[in-house]
Amino acid sequence: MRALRAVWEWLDQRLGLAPGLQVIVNNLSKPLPPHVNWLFTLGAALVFLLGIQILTGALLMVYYIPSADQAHASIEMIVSEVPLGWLIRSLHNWGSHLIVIITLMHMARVFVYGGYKKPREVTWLIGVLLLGVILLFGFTGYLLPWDQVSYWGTVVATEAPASIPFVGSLIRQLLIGGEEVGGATLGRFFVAHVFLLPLALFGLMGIHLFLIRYQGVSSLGRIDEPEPTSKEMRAQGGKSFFPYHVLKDITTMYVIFGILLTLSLLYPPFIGDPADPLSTPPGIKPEWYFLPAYQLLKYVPDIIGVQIPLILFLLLILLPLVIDRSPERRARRRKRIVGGVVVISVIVVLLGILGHLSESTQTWFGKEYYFDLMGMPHLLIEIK
Amino acid sequence: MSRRAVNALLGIGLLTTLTGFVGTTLAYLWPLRSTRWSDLLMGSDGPLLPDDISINSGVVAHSRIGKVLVVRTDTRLIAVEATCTHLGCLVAWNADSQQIECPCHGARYNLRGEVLRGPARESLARVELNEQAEGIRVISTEA
Repeated sequence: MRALRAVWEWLDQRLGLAPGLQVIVNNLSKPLPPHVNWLFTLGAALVFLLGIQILTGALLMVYYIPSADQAHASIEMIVSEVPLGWLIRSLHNWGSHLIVIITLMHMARVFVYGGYKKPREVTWLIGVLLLGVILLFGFTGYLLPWDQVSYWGTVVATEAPASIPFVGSLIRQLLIGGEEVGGATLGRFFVAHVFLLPLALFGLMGIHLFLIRYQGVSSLGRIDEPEPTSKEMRAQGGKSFFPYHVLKDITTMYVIFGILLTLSLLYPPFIGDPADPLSTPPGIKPEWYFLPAYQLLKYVPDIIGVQIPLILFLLLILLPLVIDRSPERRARRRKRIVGGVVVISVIVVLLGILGHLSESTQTWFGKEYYFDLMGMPHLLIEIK
Repeated sequence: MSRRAVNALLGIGLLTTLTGFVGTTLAYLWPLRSTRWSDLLMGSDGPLLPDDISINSGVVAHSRIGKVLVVRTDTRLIAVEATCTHLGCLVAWNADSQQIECPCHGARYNLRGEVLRGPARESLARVELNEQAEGIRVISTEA
């Protein structure tokens, strides 16, 4: 302890760190509004999961070879020869799913509590950009194993932007580095996945976290009323961020880690046959979070189907700026906007379920059904 | 020189530098022209030979015009572009239904490449072939 203090004093004498440390200490001891509960620990869980992704991603990069000829074999080598390689890959894979789930839960929490409203619109906008970065991580990472499912899933997904009028074809070519998905695409996606997207993630996450600490957690009052001071929050039962909320954050992190580890140990991801550019296997489906968009493309012309996810993204951006500028934060006083979001969410989930069921056979209540391309069930046989 | 002129020059200089960076990056990322494929149809194991395709079956092969589906009927070879016009999956010949089918979203075409069932809306381009001893060559495509 004495040695540590000596190091601190040595640094402080030279760099004048004490005032900066005082600002941090003051900030950490600021109270949170009394309504802050366990749902407010999801953001910290995301930071934790992103840390796991960086660690496992770096470990996978040690053996992974981003070339069309060797990518698949290198993944097979990681899971079959490298000690605990299967676990590292499994953690990375399940981590990516959990990040998307928790990001959506975190956004739903912010939406319900009206946390995106003035003066915190910028924090929300950066959060929406972070959602985009996380989905792009999933999209680019999906191709890297270079198996049949990932290859053809990427072919379909990269074909979608080609239907954008005038520039679509050029965008697609730049994206995949040629006329068709191949080695050039793998190189591009790899660089995006391990360098460009992490760069964007760190930058955006840094600003997001800074703004959260700088502005504090929003109250439940109207936006045209002054926010409670620290003294008022303490009087209402609000407790300091450190240590009270930090302990909750750590607890959630451990629970999430338990779930991640359980899934990774029990259900390690499958690796399919190597990509064959001359044969599309049946039943190609994207990751679950792209299933709604995939299913939508079956019902509407692709030129419309491609625009709808972009419009949804735009709606998220416009939410605090244009769509919901009412002064109320409480969900029950924002019935119209909450209802609209619930309806859109139900449609998206329904499309995802239809996408999951389509082209599969399921047994429900003793009856076997085949779900066709459009997700419509057809009774096959009654099992006695 | 006035302060405004200096600022304008600095601005132009910065913009030029940025354009240089963006231009160079775009040029670097611009897709390379593929010289890998020629008129000769290439399967997974080398040039596709007429005898490689049995009656009432189809094979997909690479060529300079993209991937081509070659189907042998009772009498001759028929070829269409193999990339589904919906979202880019590869179509395949279904000998039972006597139709060309896309495994991804279920589009169906006849042997002339015409759409029989959506979601595809555009036909597959027909491809004219020339059978030679060293393999099958693409002559031309017609939409």
